Amino acid sequence: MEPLIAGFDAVLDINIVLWIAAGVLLGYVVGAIPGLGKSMATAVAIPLTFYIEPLASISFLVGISKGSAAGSAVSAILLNTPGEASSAPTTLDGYPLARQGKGQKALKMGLFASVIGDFTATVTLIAIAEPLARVALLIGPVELTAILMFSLTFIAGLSAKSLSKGLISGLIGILIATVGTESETAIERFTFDTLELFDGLSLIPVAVGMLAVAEMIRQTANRHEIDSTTELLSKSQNKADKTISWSEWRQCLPAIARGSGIGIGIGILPGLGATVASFLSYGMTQRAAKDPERFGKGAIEGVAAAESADNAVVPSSFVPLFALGIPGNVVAAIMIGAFLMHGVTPGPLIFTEQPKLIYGIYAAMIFASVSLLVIGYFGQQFFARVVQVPLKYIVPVVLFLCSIGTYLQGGGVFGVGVMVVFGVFGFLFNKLQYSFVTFLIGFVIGPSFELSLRQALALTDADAANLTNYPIAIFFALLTLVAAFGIAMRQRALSGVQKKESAA
Amino acid sequence: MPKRAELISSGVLLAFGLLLVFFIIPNQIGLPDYEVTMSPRLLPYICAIGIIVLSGSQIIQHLLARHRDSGVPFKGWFTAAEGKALVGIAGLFIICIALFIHAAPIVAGGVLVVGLLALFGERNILIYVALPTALLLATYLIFYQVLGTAIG
Repeated sequence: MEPLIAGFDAVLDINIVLWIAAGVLLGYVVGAIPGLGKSMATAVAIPLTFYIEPLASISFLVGISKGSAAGSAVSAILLNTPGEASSAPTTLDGYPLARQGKGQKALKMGLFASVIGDFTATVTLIAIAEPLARVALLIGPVELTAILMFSLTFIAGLSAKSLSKGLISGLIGILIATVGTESETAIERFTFDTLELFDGLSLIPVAVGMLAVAEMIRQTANRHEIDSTTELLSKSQNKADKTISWSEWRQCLPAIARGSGIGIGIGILPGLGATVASFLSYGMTQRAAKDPERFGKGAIEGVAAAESADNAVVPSSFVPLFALGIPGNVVAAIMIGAFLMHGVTPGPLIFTEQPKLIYGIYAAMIFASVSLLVIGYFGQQFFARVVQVPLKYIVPVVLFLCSIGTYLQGGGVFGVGVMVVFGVFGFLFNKLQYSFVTFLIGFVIGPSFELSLRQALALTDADAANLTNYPIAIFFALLTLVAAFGIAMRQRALSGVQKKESAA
Repeated sequence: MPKRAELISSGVLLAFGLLLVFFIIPNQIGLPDYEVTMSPRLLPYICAIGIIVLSGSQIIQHLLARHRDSGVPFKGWFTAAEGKALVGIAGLFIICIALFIHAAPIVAGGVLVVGLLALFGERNILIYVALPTALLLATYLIFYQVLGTAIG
């Protein structure tokens, strides 16, 4: 408890408080705009934090990711267009409520559920990350290689349309990470005698290109579709339509508790992500309801279930990041870039090497939850207007900021060029249904995977028979095979069902 | 997604993997003349071979599936609007990078914003003036005045 109090002491500095609040506000605005998600917002903001001290900059980014997760409900409820995929279940009941003149009620419930889910997950992160990190310190390079292989396979299987596409995406990510000077021999790899490639490719232009530029290309192509959905929130004069009654609270609390639990569980597991969590939570709440036919027509528990799960994923996805140094989703992968930019390596040693920073981050996360409630509650009318800003003004601003950010952090004009190349690559990747999530995670874990593989080869004398001395590694290797087989079978069954449905 | 697009993309990946194994890796990654724990070529080779095997298996899978059913028509998986957006944005960035190098950062920034507004068919002249001016002014104030750093 003492380190956490020290963390609060560090965070209760007016500068950091303002950065957190600014992050939440910016995240909320970005999240409210259809098509702009938390991963894109975080990627674009990272380079801008280069000149800020580590705690303030990471707190700012945490604020953005939390704010945008909650903000995506605004457009889902008011426009029937989710800010990002994870808010799609929110539209199912949120939009019907808005059409009935109960938009403010839905927005309030969405906000309260988001804050409760987020806060519960933050407390869980604080409770379990450090004990898990202590266990992780017992893990050596051989085990780590097997764990990384398992994580990548698991993520590949769950985030792409097919396991093979997911694995190809991850392998391309690792391959791109090998560009530059190799650490053991100082031999150049894939540099094509280009001086700028000697240090390898920086995460910032790659991530900003894959996430933001590719998304802006998609939004530009679909602009007529998105702008035509913008319509005004129908307002009701009835006070009961704007507030949440006690009976509605009683109705929603089990859904929020269930959603928070699902969000936490799914956030900790690598690869599943907020979309799976919110859909699962919505589906389970509907199944648990006495009158499931109300769902899809304006059941307020539907909004509560989806939003609590969606927002619980962000803090809980930091559990594998802090405890093992493994990013479970894109936001966590991008956060690794922010940590590295400030000379901090996330992983089990962070608790002993940077205790002040880590507890400061915890305190900032709690403070961000409170900011989320205050900003979301009092800014409701403002965010309702933000969703109506036409896309033709948003795209130039976002791409301008992307260019400035990658210029500053990605090696000048070369970085901007890299961003554009990966923007085009990301767009095609997405069109062809390859997984940019697995690509980015492969790119981020590539160097640590190579290092642990090298150490594992040295420890085992490159002899597979010596693996018998490493039962945990064998366990994860077998788990990788089982996961790959299970995912492949599940996808085969799903494609069989889809074929039958399309034939019918 | 249409099977023809799947086949083409898997074929491109297979060719890329083969190019890596037989040409790019041997030419772009040297070998040390002393003993090392792990060759600098090992991980790239693992990735390249993985790409070959997986894309090859995808091709076989799609060929077999194609044999069983007629598949979705190729036309339509990539729309004209997407093509225009892709070429427009990428082309605009190339022009702006050239302007950045040969003219000045302020010109490149201004052209980027104006060009994107034009791409969206904006007709209000005031927006063409106000948006780039506001963005460039905000950038100047944040980076040059508040953070004390320079761009360009």
